[in-house]
Amino acid sequence: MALRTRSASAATSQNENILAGKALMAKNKMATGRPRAALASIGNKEANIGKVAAKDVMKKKTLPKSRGTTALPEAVKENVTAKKQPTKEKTLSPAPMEVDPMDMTEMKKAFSDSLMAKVEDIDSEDKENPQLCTEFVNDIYEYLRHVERKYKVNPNYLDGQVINARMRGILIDWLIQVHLRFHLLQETLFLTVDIIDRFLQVNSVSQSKGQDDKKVQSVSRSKLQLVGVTAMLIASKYEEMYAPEVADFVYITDNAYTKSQIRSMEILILKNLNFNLGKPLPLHFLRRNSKAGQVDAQKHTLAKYLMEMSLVDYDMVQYNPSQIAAAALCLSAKTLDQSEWTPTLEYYSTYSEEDLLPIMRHMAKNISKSSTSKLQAVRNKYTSSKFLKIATIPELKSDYIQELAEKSS
Amino acid sequence: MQKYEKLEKIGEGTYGTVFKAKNKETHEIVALKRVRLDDDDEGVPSSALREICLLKELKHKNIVRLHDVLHSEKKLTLVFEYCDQDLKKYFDSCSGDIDPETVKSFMYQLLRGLAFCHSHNVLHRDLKPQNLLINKNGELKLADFGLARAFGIPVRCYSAEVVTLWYRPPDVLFGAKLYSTSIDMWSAGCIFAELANAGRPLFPGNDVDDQLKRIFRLLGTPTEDTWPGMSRLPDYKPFPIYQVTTSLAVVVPKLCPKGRDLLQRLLVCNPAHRLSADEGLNHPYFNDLSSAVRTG
Repeated sequence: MALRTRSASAATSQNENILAGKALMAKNKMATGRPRAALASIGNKEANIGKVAAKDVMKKKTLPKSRGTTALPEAVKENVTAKKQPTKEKTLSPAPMEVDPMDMTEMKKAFSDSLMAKVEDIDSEDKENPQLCTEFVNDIYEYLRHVERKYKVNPNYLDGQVINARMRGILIDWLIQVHLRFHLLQETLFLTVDIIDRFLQVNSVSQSKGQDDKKVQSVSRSKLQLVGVTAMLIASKYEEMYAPEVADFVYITDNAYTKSQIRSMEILILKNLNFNLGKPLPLHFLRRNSKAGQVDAQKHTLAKYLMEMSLVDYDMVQYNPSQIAAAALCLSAKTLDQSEWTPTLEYYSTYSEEDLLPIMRHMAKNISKSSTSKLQAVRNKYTSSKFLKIATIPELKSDYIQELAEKSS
Repeated sequence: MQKYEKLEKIGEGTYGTVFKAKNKETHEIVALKRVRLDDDDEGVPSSALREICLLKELKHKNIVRLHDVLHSEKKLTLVFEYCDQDLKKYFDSCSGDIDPETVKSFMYQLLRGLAFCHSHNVLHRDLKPQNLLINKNGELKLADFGLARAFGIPVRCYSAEVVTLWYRPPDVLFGAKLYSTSIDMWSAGCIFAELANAGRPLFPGNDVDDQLKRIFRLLGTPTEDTWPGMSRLPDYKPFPIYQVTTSLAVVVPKLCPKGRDLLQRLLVCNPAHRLSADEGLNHPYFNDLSSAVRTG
């Protein structure tokens, strides 16, 4: 089965052989006739088959433009929106957000009156734009922060499980390539990883409660990839206008699993997650923060790169999406032009720079070791011009990043 | 399905059949929505998946409550609170007359349910009388979230194939894929007029063209001045310039002037100028709303 190759050749095996789909990629690189261009050879670069593949995938879809949402257009769009608003020193009314009492106290603690005076109302210029939902936007973000706390992923949740951090990393690295090949939305990728973590976490709980050590509940190594593709199927159904078919996921694993195995796993995951898929994603918070900071496309894209790097890093699972998003933007801005984490950013993200520092150090460490890491999917993805070649910019090798990385525990 | 005793078939949802049933232990009456999985190669339909996920989060008196989800190899069963009828059947039963207080109460509850959805980043996208349930106590509940979805900010493109034709806003009729909470507000306006006329639909179009003509004949054909960007919508085509000739007083004769003002503000072709659910709730039309409805 999918991961058995891994278990057979243990430590010496290369990452490439661990997941069936990876083997498939290698195979297809050499194959002259591809079974389905759309799903072929994930290892190949956009330049070779990207166009053909895209067309093929889109046959099912009526909306090519909305598909394959890429960093650039989105970032640019947001950038335009941000630029439309001139910087204005506006004082918010004393209670700009409807928040529950606990949050109110937190807010008050964090914001002295003098600081509040420096916070801009970032929505005041957008009342005419229904896409920005200004009348609900603060309520919605307050609600999202409530939900992310409700569905937390615990640190070290893999303790005592067969699956370890390395296997999780390899799986997600591979899924990032699948995601790119399928031309899915960014949201789908982040939701996929969240589903995987929460599912593995629930399973670890039931395992520790188990009567004997048969580990019936724990996900076995051979089923990890099944969990991964099924999580992506579920995330696609939730987020995408046109989700890939079950057969596409069977194909991408080189037939390691059958359609009916995927369908059964789908029910199992949904049951274990209690059908709760509405957890907010780092992307949702990043967009709000980028608006608050009026950042340009480069900063926004670098923040996305940092967030995506965090996906493969098991040591970061315990951070909430809003923390990841804020730390990514703060680090991105500091790296690119040492810009300040303003009171406006602090207010809308709800985090001070000090709060974010431990996460930023973690991200800096990931950047500093990115060229030597075995997991290269995110880095490869972000070297393309579609993502402003952000993974290759010299600022990522700066002393600032190095120093931060060294402070990471 | 041991726990529930099926009583009768109530109808068909966006997916799956709905039955009235009784909990054998508690004798509670519920509605069961059954989703067959074996005849679908693709596993759980995305409409069912979204409806379950969204309704799990949306707990409000004006939104139908999802009690439970039962699953077996071959089917999913959604257990909902039971309501006696939907608004369509209610119209049929009241033979052309609804008292103004009931109209006001239903409209208020519709807007309150919608405000809750929208502030929890959910678009319903299929509001129509069949999807509004009414129980014995005169409570109205939004139901059938099979086309609903969660939205991000800024919203991105979603499917244009949403909302039943008669309740579909002009921007979506012109193929707009970038829409937001305003999509539901247009439907709410159409339903408001239908309520005021005791069940006569406001814009019963036969096709997209006819639908837009009916809308423009009543409200006047929008122009680039009143609706900047209209002509750049994917399926835009020019329509004859209709002038506003009929006042809403003729269209909804039984509705009071304040009610007509609210209706006018909901039925705005340019989505940017359509009233939001929150604004609707604060409209003077509801000033004399009975406190039982307001707090109920």
